[in-house]
Amino acid sequence: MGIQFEKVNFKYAEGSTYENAALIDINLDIELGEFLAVIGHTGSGKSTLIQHMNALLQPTTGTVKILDKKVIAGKKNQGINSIRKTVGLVFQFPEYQLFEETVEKDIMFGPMNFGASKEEASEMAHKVIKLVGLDEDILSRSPLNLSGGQMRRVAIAGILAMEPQVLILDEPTAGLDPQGQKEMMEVFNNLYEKYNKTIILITHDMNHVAKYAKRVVVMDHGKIVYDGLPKELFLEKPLLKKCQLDLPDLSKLVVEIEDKLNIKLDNEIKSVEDLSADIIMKIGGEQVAK
Amino acid sequence: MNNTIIKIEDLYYSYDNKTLAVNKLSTEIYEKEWVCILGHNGSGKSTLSKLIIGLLAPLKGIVEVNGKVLNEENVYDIRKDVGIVFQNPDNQFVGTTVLDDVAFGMENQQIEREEMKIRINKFLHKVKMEQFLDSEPHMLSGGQKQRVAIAGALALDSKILIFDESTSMLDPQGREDIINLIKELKSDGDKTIISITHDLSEAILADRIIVMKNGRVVKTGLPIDILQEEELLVDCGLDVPMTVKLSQKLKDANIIDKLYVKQEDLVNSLWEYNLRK
Repeated sequence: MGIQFEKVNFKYAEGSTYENAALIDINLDIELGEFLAVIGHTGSGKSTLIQHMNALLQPTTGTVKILDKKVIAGKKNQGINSIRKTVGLVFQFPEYQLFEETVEKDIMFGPMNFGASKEEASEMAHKVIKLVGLDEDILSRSPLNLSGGQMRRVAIAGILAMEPQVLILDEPTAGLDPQGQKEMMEVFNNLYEKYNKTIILITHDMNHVAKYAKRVVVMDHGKIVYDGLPKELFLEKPLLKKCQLDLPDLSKLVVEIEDKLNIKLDNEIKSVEDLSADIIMKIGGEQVAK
Repeated sequence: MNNTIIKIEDLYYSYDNKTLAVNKLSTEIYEKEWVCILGHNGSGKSTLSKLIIGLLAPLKGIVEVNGKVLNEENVYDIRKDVGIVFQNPDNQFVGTTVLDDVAFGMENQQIEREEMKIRINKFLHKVKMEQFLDSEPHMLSGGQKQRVAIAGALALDSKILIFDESTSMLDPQGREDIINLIKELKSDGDKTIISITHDLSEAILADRIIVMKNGRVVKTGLPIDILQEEELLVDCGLDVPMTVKLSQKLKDANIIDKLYVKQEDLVNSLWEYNLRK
């Protein structure tokens, strides 16, 4: 029981002159507990896809099953409100949506909207602030006087406070410095590994796909054109080119070394350490022997 | 080395009168160079750019642009010398169409209508946006909006252009377009370019890097020197390029004899090693 798309089509502004097919014949089965990356260039349909995952959009045709709820095209769907609690969606630049006087109040807003008491919500705020790697002291501060990276974490804590089973993140590291990006990705990886959350990550950063995702879905012109393992995707050069996707930095380095030196490196290289060990093995051996 | 075009001496700034966002900062920027200001979120890089164009007034210290010490009287003159492209494409599109947006700055400077038309065409062509003359902002991608902002700055013929994290909110295609445009402006050779970023692949392209941390300049130098200083960069919330990490390991194994910042140089050195053995 996770999220299933069955023959889903979605058109923006159906029937008008601006009609535009954003999703075409989507079949997708996401299990609970997965770490899935959704990639594709701007306009490929990624954002439209994830907005179906918590019923912000209703399909034009087809069905989306979200845990025990169904969102069916053309029907008035009952009980979709609770979907917003189980599937938390973090938009791009979520820090722009912070509005309360204090960080604590901002985090409490979501749970209280879903019926939690003030005490419960406050307890939750103390719990989730640590999950995003911030100190409890920050709870009494104004969210608007924090650094960009801190604001981003507070916004994510606000979603976590609703205790979603599934966390959807739309480019959560955009605009952060390298250290901030690394820390943010570790927060999600921790939620995935230790708290068994389902993570669905939209990103343009192929390094994050290669390093963290266990499965990757590629969108192109509203269709799913790849669904499988990241390391196998990055061997599909023609597909990547067609979808205007880049390689992770590590793969780029591997390809360039292979081409220039006319050697074949290991397919399983996952880190700089692996790469240097393989290079030393393939070209370093004789030199050492001399 | 070219003449100094911006000189900053013992500059201080605070947003809240408690912590210093810019703390006794001194630096110089030279005419027609492409300098990259590198630093983590909150290091003071954007504050510095706002102090240079007089959007913020320093607590103390001197900003000198193109030979003039910035003060209340000449702030508008100085802004004619410095164009700036901000981070968020949606926060700087003021016109209702692309054409209006590029015209806006020139109208403020009371440039003749005929001259305005010439410049609008010339600079929208330069940023490859001429076919979007009548487009409204919501019809454009982030990268396209940033290109319009650049055309607007170019139309004012400023000597200095500041790109304040102008690529950080864009997708890879948008980022590449803007970086290619900066490269082109650099090779045209008549602008001083200041790019503010935490993106190392962008910093590598500059003539010089200024590294900032906690409101101070902690180091300046050539990209090939700065970008191999792992300790410094990590301490500043940044990272070293993957090529540097790999060359460190290969150097330890005596395959290469120095650290490489550029991928091409590292691969060439490996190639030579492989031929020699």
